[in-house]
Amino acid sequence: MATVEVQALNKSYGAFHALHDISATINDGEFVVLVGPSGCGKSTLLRCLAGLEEISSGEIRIAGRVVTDLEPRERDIAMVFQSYALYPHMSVRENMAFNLILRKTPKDKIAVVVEEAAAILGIEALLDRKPRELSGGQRQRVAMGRAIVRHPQVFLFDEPLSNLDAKLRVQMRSEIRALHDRLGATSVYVTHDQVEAMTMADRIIVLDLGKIIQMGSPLELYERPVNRFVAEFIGSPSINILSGKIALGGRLVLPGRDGDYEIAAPEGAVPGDVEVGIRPEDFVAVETGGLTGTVRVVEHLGAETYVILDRDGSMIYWRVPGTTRVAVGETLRLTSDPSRLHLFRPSDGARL
Amino acid sequence: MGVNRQSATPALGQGGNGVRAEAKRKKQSDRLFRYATLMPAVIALVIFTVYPMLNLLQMSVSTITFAHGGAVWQFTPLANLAKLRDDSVFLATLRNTLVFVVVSVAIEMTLGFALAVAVSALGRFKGLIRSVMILPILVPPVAIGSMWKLMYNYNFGIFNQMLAWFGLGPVGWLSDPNLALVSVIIVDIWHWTPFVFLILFAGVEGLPREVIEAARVDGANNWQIVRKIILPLMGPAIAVAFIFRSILAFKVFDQIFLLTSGGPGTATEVVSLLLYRVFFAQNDMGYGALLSLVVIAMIVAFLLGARRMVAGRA
Repeated sequence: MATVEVQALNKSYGAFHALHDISATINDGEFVVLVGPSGCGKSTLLRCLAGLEEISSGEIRIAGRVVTDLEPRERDIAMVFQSYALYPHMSVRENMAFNLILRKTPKDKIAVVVEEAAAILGIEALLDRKPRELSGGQRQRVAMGRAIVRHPQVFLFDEPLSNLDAKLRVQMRSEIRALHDRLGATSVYVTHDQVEAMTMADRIIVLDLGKIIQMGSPLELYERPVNRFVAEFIGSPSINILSGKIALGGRLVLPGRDGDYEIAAPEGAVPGDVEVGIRPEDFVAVETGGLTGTVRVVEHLGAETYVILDRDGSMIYWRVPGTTRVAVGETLRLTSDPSRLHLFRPSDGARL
Repeated sequence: MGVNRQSATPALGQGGNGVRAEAKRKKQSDRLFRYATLMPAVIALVIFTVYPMLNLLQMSVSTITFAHGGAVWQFTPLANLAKLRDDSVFLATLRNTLVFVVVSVAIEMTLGFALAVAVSALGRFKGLIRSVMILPILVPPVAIGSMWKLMYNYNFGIFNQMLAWFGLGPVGWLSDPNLALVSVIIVDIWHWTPFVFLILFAGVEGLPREVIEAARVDGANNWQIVRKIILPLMGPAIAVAFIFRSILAFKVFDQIFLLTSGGPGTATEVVSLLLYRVFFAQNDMGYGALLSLVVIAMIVAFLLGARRMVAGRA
């Protein structure tokens, strides 16, 4: 397996600059997820790695070898597409064997390799069927099978689960991750779904508007987002953002109609306007003081409950254990541990 | 249908007989309605397709003379067949037609496919090229005839002028018996390759892009992608273009009539030209009808043979 290095990669389509100065290293055996909203350039970056898009400038190295100007077939990569992209006129067996046939692998060896991969994925019974006779989940497995028979240096996944139903998506998520661990492969995985990113990745690269916003482990991104965009993108339900002010004397003031809510500002906070991010699970109900809000909606998920409060017209999400009883219409007072607060600069959203 | 199934269930309960009879009556009127609505189409089909074919069949076994202010039909089944057997011109036209169809269709299909794949790979100018390619199809056959006749002219045609630059020629493009058929095939290729291109181009453009990309990642080079992915997936579009072109090529008339009128000798005499002469110059309706049936049989046999060849390879 291999390290993937990207240096100062730029990609433009005419006047449109799709990727800006992307530099990143994906370590040998690592599972890296590229995540971001639609149009952030994550799929374009993946296609550049695959060689399906020519890059405008920069360099891509796989296992130390410069592959920037090489054809996809010369890069020793395998890719799983969003639409699965199975060859419709070939059987599952032929789909999986296509690369091996092109490489003139002996027939008996192809048979063994394909059977092995089919066994890993549990699709032995489907080998003689055509793609149109398969369900979405089965097609997904065949697409994976086509990738693993090749033992490539790098696996590339382009939103491979987005066409599956929710239940199958959860199942395939863990299967893909288990497969990655089993093969010890280097994998680059594109998704717009932050839950997929959080659950599958060793490391996440968050992209927005063609730029890398933050790279780090799922928990690093969750605990220390570099800006408001990452804070809001990672985590479900999304982080609560409130406007506030750091007063002289190290107090954080969140103004409200029913009185200001004041707590100690996190250490080193500079006086001035701030945006305060509070994760839904970081609130604690208190009897006096705190931030007041009226309960508008209570969503029971079983193990946990989301309480949605109205504070002066803006909604606040509070995540509580499923056993907590809260009634709609109740007025609650919430506070939070100052060390759990995230402060962002209002002008550009950067973390303070 | 759904209505009948629903009404069958209460038939099991009380008063079932009445409900069942009602369902039966509904079913009958439903069937009647279906036949009634189909009838106009069936009648039109019979009048415009089946009747002419039957009429042609009847003509082919008759000798038709024009006397007493009308056509006189005589049932002479063997006379026309005997004419066909002894017709040496017919054999020559048959050979010419087959050569014309096989060579022109094969080249048009190959060129059209290659162009479709090549143009589809272009990023820009696709629409422009597609529009320009339509032009030859738009030119009226009479204009094509006179245009190419000028270009093929022995004394001042552009082809012979170009040959003269290299110290070659002049060549009797339309007057040399060995070359005349090639010359008319060239015109046909010019005229009809764009048609094949347009059908196949639409086919190539409709191919799933990710499947071709998957093949690229899977290690296929351009030739392998064309051979193993594009060609098999294009089967239906290729079949449509091939069938259209074969049928039209078998029936080719105007461009050959205008360029060579079948000459020199019988060098470019194709079945349609012979048909024309038999029907309109010799007024031999019965024999003409038989020849028409032979042409239809040839087209069917050719298409069936081609299908078998494709099925055998798949």
